[in-house]
Amino acid sequence: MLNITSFIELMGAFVLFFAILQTASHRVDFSIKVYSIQSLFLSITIFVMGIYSNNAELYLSSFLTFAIKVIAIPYFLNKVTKRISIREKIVPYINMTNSVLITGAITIFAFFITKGDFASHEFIARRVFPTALAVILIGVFIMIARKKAIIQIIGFLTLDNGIILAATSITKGLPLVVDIGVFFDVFIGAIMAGVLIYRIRTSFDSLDTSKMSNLKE
Amino acid sequence: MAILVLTFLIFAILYRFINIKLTFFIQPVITLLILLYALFLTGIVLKHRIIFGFYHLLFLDSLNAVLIIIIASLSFLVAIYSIGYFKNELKSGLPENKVKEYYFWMNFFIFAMLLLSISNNLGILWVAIEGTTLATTFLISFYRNKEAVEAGWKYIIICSVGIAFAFFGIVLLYFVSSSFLGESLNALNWTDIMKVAPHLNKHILDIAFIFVLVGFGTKVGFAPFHFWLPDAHSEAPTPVSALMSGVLLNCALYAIIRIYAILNLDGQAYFANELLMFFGLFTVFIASIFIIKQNDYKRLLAYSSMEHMGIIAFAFSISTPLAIFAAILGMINHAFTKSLMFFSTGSVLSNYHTKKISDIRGLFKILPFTAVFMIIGVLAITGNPPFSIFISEFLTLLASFKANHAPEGILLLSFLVVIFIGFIRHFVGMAAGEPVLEKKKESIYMILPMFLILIVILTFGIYIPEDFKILVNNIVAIVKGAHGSKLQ
Repeated sequence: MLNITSFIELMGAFVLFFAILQTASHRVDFSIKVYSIQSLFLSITIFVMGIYSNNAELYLSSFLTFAIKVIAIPYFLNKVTKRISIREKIVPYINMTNSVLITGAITIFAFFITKGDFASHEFIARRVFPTALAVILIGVFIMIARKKAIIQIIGFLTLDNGIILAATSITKGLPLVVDIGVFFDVFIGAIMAGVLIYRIRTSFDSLDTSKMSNLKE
Repeated sequence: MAILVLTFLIFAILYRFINIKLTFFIQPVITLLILLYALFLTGIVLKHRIIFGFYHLLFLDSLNAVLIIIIASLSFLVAIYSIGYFKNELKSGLPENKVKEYYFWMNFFIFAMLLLSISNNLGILWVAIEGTTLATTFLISFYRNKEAVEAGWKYIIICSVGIAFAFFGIVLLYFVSSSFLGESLNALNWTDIMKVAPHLNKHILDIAFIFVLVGFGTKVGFAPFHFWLPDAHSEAPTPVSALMSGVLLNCALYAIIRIYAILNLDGQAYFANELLMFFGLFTVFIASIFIIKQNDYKRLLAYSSMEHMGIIAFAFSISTPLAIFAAILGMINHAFTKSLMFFSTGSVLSNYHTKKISDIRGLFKILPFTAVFMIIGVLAITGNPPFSIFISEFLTLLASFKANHAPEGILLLSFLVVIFIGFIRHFVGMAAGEPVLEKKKESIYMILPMFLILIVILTFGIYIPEDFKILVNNIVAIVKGAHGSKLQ
C-alpha cells in the first residue's frame, strides 16, 4: 500500500513533470492547460499535507489554490488570448529539445544543492523540497527562454507554484493571513499583466517582447 | 495605527465618486493631517521606544517612524504638486477619467507603502511590497504610449520575479523561526523573531538573506537588477516618479534592513555586510557610468536615485553607529532632494514636452523660478554644502575611513566626483544659453512644494534636532540587533 509521505512526494513529482512539459509546449492554449493541471496537483499536494498534519488551514489553502489557480487565472488568460486572437506559435530563444534537456539539468542541480543543510531537518516529505526548487528554477528558465509576453506570465506563475510547493514542504504551510495575501497578490498581478498584454498588443501589434526596444540606452 | 493605513484605502475608493476639482484640494488636506498624526505617533515612540497595534501585527519603533514621516511628508508635497501638474495636463487634453484613475492608484500606492512600513509581520510586509508593485504598474504605463507600456511590462515582470525570490527568503526564515516559535503567525513577527534571533540556524539565515537581498534589492534598484528602474522612473508621470524615487526605494531598502537586523547580532553579520557593501558600491559604479553618457534628464535622475541607494546600502554595511546615522540621514535627505529635482524637471517637461537634455536651453529666461530650484537641486543632490546631502555623504565617507574601509571609501568618493561632473555638465547646459521658447507662466502649486523642500534640506544641512538624534540612537540599537531580548 502506498504510504502517505510517498504519495505527497508523488504529487510533488507531478508538479515538476508539468513544469517540464511546459517547456515543451508549442501553443499558448496548451500552455495554459498545462499550468492549470499543474496547479491541480499542487492543490492535491497541499490537501494531502493537510490530512497528514491535521491542519485545517491547509484545507483552505488547498481550496484557494484550486479556485484561483486551477479555475480563475486560466479562465482569465484564455479570455485574454481569445480577445487578442493569438494564433502564431510560441517563438523560443532556445528550441524545445534543448529546453527539455536544460530542465533535466536544472532538476539534477536542484537535488544536488539541497543535499546538505536541509537533509538534517525533520520534513514531512523530504524529497518535495528539491522538487519545488527545480520547479522554481524552471519557471525562471521559461521566462528567459520564451519571447512571447503571455508565456512569460505563465513562467512567472510556474515559479510561484514552485515557491508555494516549497513553502508547504519545509513548513506546514504559511500562516493563513499571509497565504490569503499572497494569493490575492498573485491573482491581481496576473490580471494586471493580462491587461498590459492587451495594451502591448494594441501599441506594438505583436506580443514578441524582443520587439520592445524603445527604452534602450 | 490602523487609522494611518486605512485612511488612504478609503480615500482611494472615495475619490471615484467625487468631483475632480474637489479631489485636488481634499488630497493635500488629508495628507497633511496624516503627516501631523505621524509626527504625533513619533512623539509617542520617542517616549516608549516601541508601540503595537492591531494584535501585534502593526508596530512602530524608531526605524519605521522615520520612514512613515518620509512617506507622509512626501505624499503631502506630491499632493500639492499634482494640482498644478494635472491642471496643466487637463488643459492639454487629458480626459478627467484618467486623473481620477491617477488618484485611485496613487492613494492605493501610499496605502501599500504605509502598510509595509508599519507591519510587524514579515509575511504581510511582503504582501504590501507586492502591493506597491501592482499599484504603480498602471501609474507607470499611465500615458499608454509604446514606451510607457514597455516600461510597465518590464516593471511588473522583473519586480514580480524579484519579489517572488524575496518570498522564498521569507519562507526560509519562517522555516528556521518556526522551530522556536511554533507554526503560527507569531513566527513571522519581526519583534518575536528578534527575541529568538541568537538561536537561529546561521547558515540558513544567510541563505535566506541572499534571497531577500536579491528580491527586495530588485525593487531598491541594486545593479545588476536595476533594468526596470530608469524606464519606470522616466515614463511615469512626474508626481509618481518623485514618490517612487524618494519613498518606494527607501521602503524596499527598509525591508532589507529589517531582515539584516535579524542576522546582525552586535555586528556579527560579516557575510551580509560584505554582500551589502558589494551591491552598494557596484550600484554607485553603474549609476556613475550611465549618468555621464545620459541624454534624458528623467533617466539621469533615476540613475542618481540608484546612486544614492547604493551609498545608503554602503553606509549600512559599515554598521558602526556613525555609519547608521549617516544612512538614516541619507534616506531622508535623498527623499526630499530627489523630489525637488523631479518637481523642477517635471515643470520643464510639461512646458517643453521633451526629455532630451540637448533640446533644452535657456531655462533661466523661460521658467526662472523652476530653473533656480533645479540648479539648487543639482548642487544639493551632488553633495555640496550647505545642503543636507553633504552631511550624510561626508559622514558615510568618514565612517568608512574610521572602520578600516578606506579603499572602499576612496572608490566611493571617486564615483561621486564623476557623478558631480556629469550632473553639472548636463544641467548647466539646460539652464543657461539662449531660450528657444517664450517666457511661460509658472503655477504656484508647482513652485510651493519646491520651496518647502528647500527649507527642509537647508535646515537639515545646518542643524539636526535633538529629538532626531535620540531617534537615530534607537535605530542604531535596532539595526545592530543588540537589544533583541530587551524589546517588549
